[in-house]
Amino acid sequence: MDNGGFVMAAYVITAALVGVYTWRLTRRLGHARMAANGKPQGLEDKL
Amino acid sequence: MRTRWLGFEPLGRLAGFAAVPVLAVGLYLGLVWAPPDVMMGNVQRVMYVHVPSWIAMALAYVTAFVCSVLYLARRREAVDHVAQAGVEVGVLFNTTGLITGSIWGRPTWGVWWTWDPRLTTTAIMLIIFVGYLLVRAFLDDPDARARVGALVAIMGSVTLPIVYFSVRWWRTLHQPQSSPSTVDARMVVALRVMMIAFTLIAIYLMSRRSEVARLEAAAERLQLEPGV
Repeated sequence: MDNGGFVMAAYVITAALVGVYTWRLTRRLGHARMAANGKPQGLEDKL
Repeated sequence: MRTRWLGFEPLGRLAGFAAVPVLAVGLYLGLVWAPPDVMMGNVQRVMYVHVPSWIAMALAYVTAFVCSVLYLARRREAVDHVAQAGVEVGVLFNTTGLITGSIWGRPTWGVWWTWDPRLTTTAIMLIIFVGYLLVRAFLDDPDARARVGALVAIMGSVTLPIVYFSVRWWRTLHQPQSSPSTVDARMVVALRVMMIAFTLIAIYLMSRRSEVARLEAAAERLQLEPGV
């Protein structure tokens, strides 16, 4: 048995978890920059 | 108040740029270039994400431990930001390590999960550090948040050596650490490149997360003292 599916699953799940965390972190960083500059959060979505 | 810490944020950006080519090379080496294992076949290639996950997790938790001790000693806000980042990134890689281990365990051990000392201690470690994140989320006072967080991080870090030595101290299903001299040299190269890639990713994520903590603390101060 080759078990290629297990290998694929391990790589895809790791990439997905790290990718989603990085994406959320980048968004949070954007919000934090706005908030630290005294601008209301979520404003960048409207601009 | 000085909140940037030893140029950690620029270092993180540099690590992020370096991680991309190193990861690409590591994936090629691990998935294509390195030979399959004689006993396990291709499923052994899970090792190239499983072991690096533990390396990244250990780096993040050790960072959290050192910064927590420093915070309790010096009370510098900036080290608390790095400690927070270490725990959060450590939890991420703790999770990927457990999931990839479970995926590797199913075809090799026949089970997704077993209450083996290595697996159990690793799960306990994850629970303690998730507890750190919850404790911080529930405390309003920034100083109490940092102090209690530091204590939980130090307590959680005690599990790190227990996890590492669990495969030697107890009879476990999980194999003990392999020696590079007993495996194909190509496997060692692929594993080391992936370990470097995951280390760079962990440094990048920790630097970004500590930057978030720094900015959120600044915003919190701005809310409390609008004139600042």
